[in-house]
Amino acid sequence: MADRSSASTPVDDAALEALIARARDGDLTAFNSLIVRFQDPVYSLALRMLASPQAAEDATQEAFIRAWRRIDTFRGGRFQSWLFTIVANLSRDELRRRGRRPQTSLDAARDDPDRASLDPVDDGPSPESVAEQGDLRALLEDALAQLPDDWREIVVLSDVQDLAYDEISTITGLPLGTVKSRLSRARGRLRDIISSTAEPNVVPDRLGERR
Amino acid sequence: MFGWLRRKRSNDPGETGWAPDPAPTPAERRDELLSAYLDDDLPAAERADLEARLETDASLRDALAGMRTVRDTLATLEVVRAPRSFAIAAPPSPEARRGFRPVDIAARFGAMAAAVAFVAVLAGDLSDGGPTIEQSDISTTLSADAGPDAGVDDAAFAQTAQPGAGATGDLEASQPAPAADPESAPGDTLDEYGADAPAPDATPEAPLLDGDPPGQAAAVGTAERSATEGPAAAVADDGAPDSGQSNASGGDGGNGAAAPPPLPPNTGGAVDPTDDASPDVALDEDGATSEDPETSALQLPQPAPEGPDTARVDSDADPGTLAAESALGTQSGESVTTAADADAANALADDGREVSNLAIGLGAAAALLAAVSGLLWWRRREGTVGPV
Repeated sequence: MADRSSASTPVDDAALEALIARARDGDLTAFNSLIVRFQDPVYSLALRMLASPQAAEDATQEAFIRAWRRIDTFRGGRFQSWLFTIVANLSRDELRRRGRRPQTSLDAARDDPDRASLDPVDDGPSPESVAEQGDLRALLEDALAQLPDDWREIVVLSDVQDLAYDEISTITGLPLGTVKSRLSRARGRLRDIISSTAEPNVVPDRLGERR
Repeated sequence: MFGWLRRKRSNDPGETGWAPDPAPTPAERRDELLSAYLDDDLPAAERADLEARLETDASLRDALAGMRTVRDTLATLEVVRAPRSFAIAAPPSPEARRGFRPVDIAARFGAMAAAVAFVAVLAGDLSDGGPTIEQSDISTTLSADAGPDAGVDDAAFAQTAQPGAGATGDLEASQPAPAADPESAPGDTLDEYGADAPAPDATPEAPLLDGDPPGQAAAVGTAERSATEGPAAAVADDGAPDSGQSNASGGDGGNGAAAPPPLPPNTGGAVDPTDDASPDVALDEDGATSEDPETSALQLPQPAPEGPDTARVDSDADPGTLAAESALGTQSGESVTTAADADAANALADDGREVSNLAIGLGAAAALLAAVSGLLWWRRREGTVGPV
């Protein structure tokens, strides 16, 4: 399981540590630099957990304010994971307040014109492959919204944010075995959803390529 | 890639308080194996066993392929760009970032204490206002310089003092005319005030010989009590016979020939007629006061058991005392001067007390305002943390 977030260079890590140190000393400018650096993944996690752009904005803003007020409690490690912990807790609180499954799909976020430019594209794919990939992503976004909240959080942290098991365990406060169990069930549920809803010319071909 | 093998496999759910998920179904158990296989998280033996099954089980291969597609596609979702900047606007103070601190608790308690002190000072100032004015008025009455500022109480007290003044004739020029009411008997005056006044304590320093006229008893007794107030009373002792006669004379113009009227019980209670045990006798056997100034000097400057304020309250309680003080004090220029000085001192003390109360009140108000301002400032700083 590759850790995409660990691909930063030592220079980036040093600059990040310097920003964190300045922020801990009360430098808001440095903390705002950290916000600019991490606001997209934090917002993405909130959006996929809450399936509501407005709720995701609120949770993200509150997460950064809370992080600023409690930055002296940051004990090192990955700063992004620490931010994820805060925003995940806020998102869970919001989900508990709702007391129900998210009513809004991720279509609103997918309709965002800025989002298309962020979606990664494989190197040198054919136009058909790009279309299939886009369709499959759209199916998966919808399938994510159908998952139970606790399953969705785990699979997003693992497969979208590419966090390791122990990081997910730390963020969610769940035992490692529970994290693995829920991840496998979420993946299996997503597969079943896609297989039952996708057009034959999209998913079967893609799945067939993997065989 | 092999990081999955290094991950801890412990984490007992019971240790963290989390209830484990329900037991997996066979399909879920299969997916757990496939998911761990995809993540390279299977032990070697299980991995080899699964790979052997994949060679022969097409459905298992389809399930694995579908799960791999899901995982790889989710990895391509990446991040969603934030619709706006979530930068924080204003730089809050370090104490605002650190949350609620003991100094904040102290500030809040200080604000509450200042508020309580402010209210207490205000209440005390208001309650002190009435008695202070009365005392000031009484002082004015007792002094020979009593002017038109004297109020109703002053006039009443002056009525009691007037007979004595008439006997000596010294007060006629100094006492206000309306106070001289010949129809008003001293006994009536005493009753008028004694009805509401508490009975003064009979002190061993104020005895009377047996057979003393009640009027003299009242005069001497009050003179004795006045002695506790200071030099003015000591000088007044010289005029005790006049005072006694004046009290006894009633409204006959102050010639001292009339029989003394009976004193109200409270006045008699002030001086025990049967108490002759004290050597500090102010009167002779025949009821006249001692002509020896040394005796008076020895008798009168008794140590004051109470402060000046308490003595003044006693004076308020016993009109006879006031009558004696007024009548005797005005016979001597020295006594007038001394009484005026005492009144001025009392007035200054009252003024100082008022000024002190006012200063304390202002200080408490300032502290309250400062505390509230600090609290508002702190909350405002807390509230400034927000989006740009």
